[in-house]
Formats: sequence, C-alpha cells, structure tokens
Amino acid sequence: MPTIKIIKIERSMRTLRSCLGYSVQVVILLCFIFKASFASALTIGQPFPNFTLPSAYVGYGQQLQEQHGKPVMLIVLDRCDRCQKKLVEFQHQNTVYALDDLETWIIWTSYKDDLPPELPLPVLKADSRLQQGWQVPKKRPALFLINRDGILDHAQYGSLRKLSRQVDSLLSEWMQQGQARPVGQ
Amino acid sequence: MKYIIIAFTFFTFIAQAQQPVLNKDIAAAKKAVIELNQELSQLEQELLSPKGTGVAFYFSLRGGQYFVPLAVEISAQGLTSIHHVYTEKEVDALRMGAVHPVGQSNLGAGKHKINIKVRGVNQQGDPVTLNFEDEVEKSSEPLKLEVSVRDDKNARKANAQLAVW
Repeated sequence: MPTIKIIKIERSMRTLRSCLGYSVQVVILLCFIFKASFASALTIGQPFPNFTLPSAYVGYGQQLQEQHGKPVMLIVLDRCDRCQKKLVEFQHQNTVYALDDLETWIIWTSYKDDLPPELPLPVLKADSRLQQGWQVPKKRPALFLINRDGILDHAQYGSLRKLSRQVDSLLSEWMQQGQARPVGQ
Repeated sequence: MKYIIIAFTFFTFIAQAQQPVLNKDIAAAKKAVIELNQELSQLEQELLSPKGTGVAFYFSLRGGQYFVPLAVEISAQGLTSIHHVYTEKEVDALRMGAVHPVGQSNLGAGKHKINIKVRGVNQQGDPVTLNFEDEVEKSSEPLKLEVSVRDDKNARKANAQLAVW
C-alpha cells in the first residue's frame, strides 16, 4: 500500500516540478516542514488554538473550546507563589464584566515549592505532562483576550503590575468593540 | 528612450498574452500541492499507525456517586503515554452514560501490561487515585480497551477495571 502512495506522491511531485521553478519548490517544501510551527504561533485576528489544562487545585480541568460564545481573558503567570494579591485587579475586572459572560482564567506554572494563587477564578496548571493542545508561551506574564468567536483579539506582555494597570482600559475598550452582551439577551 | 518604451510595451504585451497560460500553470500547481499534501498525510497515517498494531482506549463512568474523575493516564512499555484531563461538561456527559474515546496508539502483537491511573475526588472531595495494572494480549487485529470506573455501593467507593471490547 505505501508503495502505491509513494508512486502517487512522485507523480504529484513531477507535475509540481513541471509547473514551478526550483526555488518555488524549495519554498513549498520549507512550508511543509515548518507547517507545525506556523500553526502553533499566536496571531492577532486568528483563532486561538484549543487547549485543555488541569486545575491547579483539586478540580475540573478547563477546555478553551467549551467557552466558545463567551469572551475569555487568559492571564499566564510567570513565577508565582501565592501571588493572589497581585491578581486582585483581574478578579475585580472579571466581576465588573460578569454580566457580559467574561471568563477569566489564570494559568500558573509550578516551580519548586511554589503554591498557586488562591482566587475565586479558575486557576489552571501549566503541566507539560497533562496539558493538551496549545503550549503555554515562554514569554510571560502575558494577557490574552479571546473573543466570542474564539479569535485572539489582544496579546499583552509585561509584568503583572503593568498588566494590572492596563487591564481596566483594555477591557473597557474591548467590550465596547462588541464583546458586551447584546441588550435584551 | 524610445527603444526602452518599445521594449517595455513589447514585454508587457508578451506577459499579457502569457497570462492565461500562467494562470493555468498556477492552478495546476495548487492542485498538485493539495493532492501531495493529502497523499503525504495518508502515507504518514499508514506508516505511523498500521491497522494491525492499532489500540484504542475508551473511558466510561458508571454511577459517579463515590468518585469524580478529573484525569486519566494510560501507559505501557512501548506505548506512547495517553492522557486526558476532564472538564465538568465531560464528566456530566460520562455520568449520563457517554463513553469517551481517550486516544489511540500502537502496540505490537503479544502480551502487554497496561498501567492505568485515574485521578479524581471522592464523595468528601478528597483527592483519590485509582491506580491499577492489567495484562492484555494483542493479536494482529485492532484492539479496543475500555477503562471503566464503577461505583461499589456496598464498599461505598469506586473501582476501576479494564475490559476488552
């Protein structure tokens, strides 16, 4: 069976070769090779890749796809040991926009004896063994705003203090752009 | 200058005349790329997962009163570890009788020890891990295995077991 496939592939390659120059073929080949890395990159205006992460406590995991139809704010923490005080502003904003269905998730990475923040929000653990789908970025802290259609609208990087200062105006502007729940629903 | 303008007009005219041929070539190239991509994907699938070595794992929950699953991990020698983290909606579906396809992998023919860890919480909300190992025999036929967690009302706890479909 694979032999037939290889013959078919060779035939397709021959057609391709007759149509295109060598340099174009090289570009296409490179596109195939780097397809995976292109797909995993985050781009504003593109769908945010789906992922499932376990809870940092004993609780259910969360899957991004299940939130389709709701605006989602993801806060990816850098090293954090019970850093709930630094996250008060995000929690406050979540309460402000609760009626607009805003979902706020905190993504925490375990390091040595650090403990996750204690918040009344889903705190997820970036567990390389258990996580599925999107890999948590190395560049963090980061804040991502994903709209009701699952599209990444904003990506902000910087310290938690800086993000806390920006989140109020950022969310207010974002909600006015169409994330607010339509009147009457 | 006059010759340059004449040459430019001539090349533009030639380029325009060749446009339909070029468009046809581009369309053929696009088609070839799409076909190539499909065939490569099929070949990759056939090489990585030959039908005879396929093993599929499923998860089910009977009851769910004494144990709530949060994650399942399946491992064996020669098997790429398979895991899944359950969300509240998925657990609700399992409680209603849904069977979750956890994942597929490959195993050679023969006897294999499969290690299964089901992490979850008990009725009191305390973390509990149902950890067990079972031996299965793989023939040349595809194998379907079901990890089943059932409530034991007499012992007031849940038990996990592996069953061959």
